[in-house]
Amino acid sequence: MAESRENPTAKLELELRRGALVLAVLSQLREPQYGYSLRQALAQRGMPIEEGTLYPLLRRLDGQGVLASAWRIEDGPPRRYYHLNDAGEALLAELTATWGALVGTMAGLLEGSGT
Amino acid sequence: MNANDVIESYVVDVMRRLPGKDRNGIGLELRGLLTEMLDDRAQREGRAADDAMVLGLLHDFGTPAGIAARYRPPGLVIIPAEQTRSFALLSLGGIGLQWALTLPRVFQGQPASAWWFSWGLGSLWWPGFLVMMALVAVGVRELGLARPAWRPRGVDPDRIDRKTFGIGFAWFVIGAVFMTCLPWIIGQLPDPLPRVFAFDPAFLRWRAPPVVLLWLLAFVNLGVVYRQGRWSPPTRWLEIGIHLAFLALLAWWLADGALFLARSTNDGARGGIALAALFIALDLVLKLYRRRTRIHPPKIATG
Repeated sequence: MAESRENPTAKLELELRRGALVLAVLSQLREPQYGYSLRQALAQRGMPIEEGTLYPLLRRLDGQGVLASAWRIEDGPPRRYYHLNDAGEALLAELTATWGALVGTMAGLLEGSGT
Repeated sequence: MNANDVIESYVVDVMRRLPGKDRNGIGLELRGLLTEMLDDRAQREGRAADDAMVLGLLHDFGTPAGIAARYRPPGLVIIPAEQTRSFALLSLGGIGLQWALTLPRVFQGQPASAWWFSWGLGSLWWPGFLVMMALVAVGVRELGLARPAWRPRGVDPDRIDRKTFGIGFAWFVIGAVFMTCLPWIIGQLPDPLPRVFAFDPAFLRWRAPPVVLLWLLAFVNLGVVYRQGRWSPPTRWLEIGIHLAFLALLAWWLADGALFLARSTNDGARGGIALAALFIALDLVLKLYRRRTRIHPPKIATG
């Protein structure tokens, strides 16, 4: 089936950002955060993410054993706070190294394509 | 109903679509999230949350089914994308074939409604059967009972294995000789078999002889392939030509007069011939399709 050729840029940009989503989320969970505060922290740093995507992602990472979570009450209703556990810290370090290598590779490729 | 009730009802709608063990956790988190989103929106707009605001928020957030789907792991693929087209063709082809075989009854006087509620709708068993088979295949794959057995081919596909090819060729010759001698063999059988299997004299005189010619042509072609040890473009095309000629001959047999004198024998033989014609046609389609997917040289830009 032929894919729609209407505005491929938006779709490709979304795919590009989606690839970096897990790393972005992990990077903000060194300190405990609940879903909504995490979303706001990401949005403030230029990485807006839909709630409908963020919450399932948090639960998936929790299920995969890289996050620890607990319900807490801090100036408001009960909220589920997530933070990296030891496995999450190790995963973050690995993904950060991969990301660094990828950025270097891409920079080289893009620089080469500009000449 | 206040804003909290609307959110609660929405969250319960989502929860109903989730696995039991995750329901409460997700429901609590979702309710907290939506409440905070609503507070934020009210603060931004500088007014208290009302029905319109909460409904707008839920509309933007998404349908309960869509939200619940995001929490579920990706489902099993029953028909992979690369098989969708062949699945559709096989399903529609099977329905079309059943209709083609049974619809003539309507033109012979059967009420159209009787046909529709028997074969018309009944032929939909075929796509259902294909889906069931696809489900079984998924189950077998998931349980690890069958692993893909594909291996790259080390030889070119036109080369033949002489031993296997020779055995097949010999059986083809034996079958053709048997069929050619059939009128004589039937004459030697005890009563009442010669009467039951008596050929129509007009068939034997006019319509049967061309098949011997086609068999001889096929023998020569297969003999060349056997001697060369491989198929070549001329032998492939000749084989396709022979198959087309066989199809035309079988169509003539089906369309023009009887093959046997006894009606029941004739009906059975016509069914067998129709089936043989179908197999030849399918084989032809497959051969032509495989030819179409060969690698062709690219068009080189000039200038």
